Amino acid sequence: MNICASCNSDSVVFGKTKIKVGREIFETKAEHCEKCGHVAIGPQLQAEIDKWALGFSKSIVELQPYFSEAMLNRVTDLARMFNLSKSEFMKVCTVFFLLRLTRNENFKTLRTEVIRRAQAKYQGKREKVCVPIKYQLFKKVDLYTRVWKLEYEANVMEEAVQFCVAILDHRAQIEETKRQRAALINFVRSHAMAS
Amino acid sequence: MSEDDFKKKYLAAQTTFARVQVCLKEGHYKLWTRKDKPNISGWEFLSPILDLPDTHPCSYAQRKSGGAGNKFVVEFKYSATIMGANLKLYFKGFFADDWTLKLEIQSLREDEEI
Repeated sequence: MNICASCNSDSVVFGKTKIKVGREIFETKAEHCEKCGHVAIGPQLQAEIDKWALGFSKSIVELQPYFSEAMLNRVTDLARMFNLSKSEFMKVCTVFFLLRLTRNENFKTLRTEVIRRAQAKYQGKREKVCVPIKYQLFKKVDLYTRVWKLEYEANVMEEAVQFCVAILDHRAQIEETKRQRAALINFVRSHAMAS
Repeated sequence: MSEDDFKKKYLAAQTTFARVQVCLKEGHYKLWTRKDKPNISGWEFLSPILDLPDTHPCSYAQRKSGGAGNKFVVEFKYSATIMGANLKLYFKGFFADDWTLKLEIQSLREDEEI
């Protein structure tokens, strides 16, 4: 029996195991530790997980971000303006935020500043919303959660929506976000057209 | 890549770090992760290692825990920018002189000391 790389016990076996991906369970045969519950994921197993998860026609997880009523009202208005549902609009914002905005070389500073301003403008009692997302977006959300050490995946969508609404409001008064505004509008419009 | 090609590439690597790079590049590794919250983005953390020089500082010592499998511990720190975050990462894996054994990655986390 091999030693577990995670807990150093000699409890590694190759056999049936279950890996949680979002709210779904991937069942497979893999090397795993019976003591600590860790599993060894190599490129081949990762590819199998990706293939399985991408095959879902439904969402892999439902994010439950919290927004103030004022922010939700603004999101409703913006979504209507782009002819999208609230949920679709929030997903498009999240994609734009994760794929485009994080590439900005000043992202760390912008993140703090823009979100702080959005939160200051849209205050009030917060409400939970449910937004189902598919695997490709979930992977990016999971990565952002890890690198920025957020507590929940839903926090990513909270940041993304606040950031994008601030850009669209054009109230951030930060030169770099002004430049992103046109790109975001085009991005949302393209998505609305495609959907 | 065939086993023979991998073996040649692995044995030709001049440093332990270069061997780690070969293992990662050729998919000859396993990332140990929680079953209930697997690191499905593991490659995002690993891929920056391939851009480092093969002389990157890296320690290599005998593994203390006994039993079958990889006999050495390989550890190093590196920097990476992922999703706009500048990270100082710590890598710990179990390694072997035997090219047939896959590199086992135990830790891939932010380095708390820096």
